[in-house]
This record gives sequence, C-alpha cells and structure tokens, in this order.
Amino acid sequence: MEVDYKILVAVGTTPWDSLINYIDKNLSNLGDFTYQIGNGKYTPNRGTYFRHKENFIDYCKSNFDVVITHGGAGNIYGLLEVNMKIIVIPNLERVDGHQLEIAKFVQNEKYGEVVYHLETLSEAIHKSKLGCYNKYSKDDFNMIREIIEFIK
Amino acid sequence: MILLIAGRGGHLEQIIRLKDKLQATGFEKFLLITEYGVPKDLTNDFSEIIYVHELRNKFSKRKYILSIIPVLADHFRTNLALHKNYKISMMLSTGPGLAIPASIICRLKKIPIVYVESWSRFYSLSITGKFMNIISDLFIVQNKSLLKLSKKAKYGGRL
Repeated sequence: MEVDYKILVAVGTTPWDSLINYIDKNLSNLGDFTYQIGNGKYTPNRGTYFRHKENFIDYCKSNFDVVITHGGAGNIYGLLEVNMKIIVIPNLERVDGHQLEIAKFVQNEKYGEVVYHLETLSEAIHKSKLGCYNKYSKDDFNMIREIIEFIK
Repeated sequence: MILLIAGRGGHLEQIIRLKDKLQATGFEKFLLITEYGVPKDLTNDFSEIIYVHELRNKFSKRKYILSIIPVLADHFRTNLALHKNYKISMMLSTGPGLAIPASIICRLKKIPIVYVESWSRFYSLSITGKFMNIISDLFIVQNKSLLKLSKKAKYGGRL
C-alpha cells in the first residue's frame, strides 16, 4: 500500500543535502520516492533522483501524488496552480529567512501541509494522503500599463 | 532600451514574466543583468545579457563581508559600461541586491526606476525592497499584506 504513494522531494536551485539525506535514511518506507537534488552533493541510496528538469510543474502533475518542496515561491505557486498536493519545508540553512514567509502563507490559507522540523515530516506525509486543501486561485499581475508610463 | 535586473532562480523567473508581458505590448529591446541561468531558448530576447556575481552569499555571512567591496565595484563598473553603450529608458528589477548599485547609477542619470518586490514576500520587505522603496519611482508589491509597510507601494497582483 505505502509503496504506491508517489512522492517527489524538490529542493530547487540551491542544494539541501541534509533534507535529502534525512528522508533517504528515515522515511523511504512511506512511499515511492523520487528526488530533485539540484546542485547538491548527496545522492540518495533509495529512490531515483535527478538534478533539474524542464517543464517541471507538468512533470510533477503527471507523475506524483504529492510534492515535498523547499520554500521556493516559483515551485509553490506553480504546483498550487495545477492543484498539486504539497508539503512545504522552508530551508532554514539559508542566511535569509524569507522561505518562512511563504510557508506561513501556505499554512494560514490551508493550501497544503507545512513542516518546520524534520521530525514532523512523516506525520505530514500521512496527513497529505487524506488531506483536503483550499484551492489556490491566482490574482494575475495587472500593472504593465502603469510600468509603461514610466518609460522615457 | 529597457534595463532588466534580476538575480537567479525566482527573481529571474519573475523578470522573464515581466519581460514577456512588455513584449506582448510591443517593447522589444531589453538588456539583462543577472547571476546565471537564462534558459537557452530565451537568450535571443535580449540585446545583451551580462552575468555578475551575487551581492550576498545566502549561506555565509563571513564570505559576504570579505567579498562585498570588489563585487560592488564590479557591479558599478558593469552598470556604467552599459549606460555608456546603450540609451536606457527605464530600469525594471525584481531584486535582489544587484538592483541596488544599478538603481544608484540610474538615479544619478535620472532614469526611471521600477521595482517589483518578490512574490515570496508577505509580512516583511526584503533588504533590497526597503532600499528600493526609497529610490524607486514605482514600487510594486505582489501581496496585499505588504501595502501597510510602504506608503508608496502599489499592489500589482502576482506574476
């Protein structure tokens, strides 16, 4: 049963070896894992991995039940726009803490699961199987005309 | 010529979306200053792409402090060279820090500056955002929750 739950772990463009390592060593029995590891050095022993992929969002939608993603907004908005189930883990190894803000946004609006400590990730994976989340709806950018007025 | 300034990853993704929208209204001439990662199929959209080092090391405060002066000098040099070679009609940036030296040059040359704060900012402005809030002519945020942090800010929706 567990092996049918298709899970992608995505770290984006900056490496996050400790996350890949933790999931690979502790949680691999919770599903069928694939890892997007970016420029990271650690390669997982269980599950398949790749570094980057074009048409990433479409690939996620077509192949996985849930995406565990770092707090990169491009990933998060892209996945929410195609109604993908997400588990957001802000990368707190970065000097700038701004991944926390979008994590709080996802949590407050109930768009997906959010994990701040890796010990709670297994619980979040279980919750995501049954979870029912709010649908994200994009308010499109609408200030091109105002921008053009500034062109000399 | 519109000067586009954006760092890597999400910043670059956002400036590309802005560029696409400007192209759709008929603007064709763009310069781009970025860190790396312009998709190959987009390179022809720009008259020139200039790659610079990031201003701030996201993983080490120590590395940042040691390298800041030569990196800043390189940014100023790069920007001045662009202004010498091209007639720039506007600067448009999605951050991060490489927008700061570029905006200082544009301000001195009286070139309009438009800044769009990152789509990942909800509850606080970035350091670059705080600076650009002062120096820009148009300061756009993508989340309404930021409007209370800046009298100048306009809500623009999401790229």
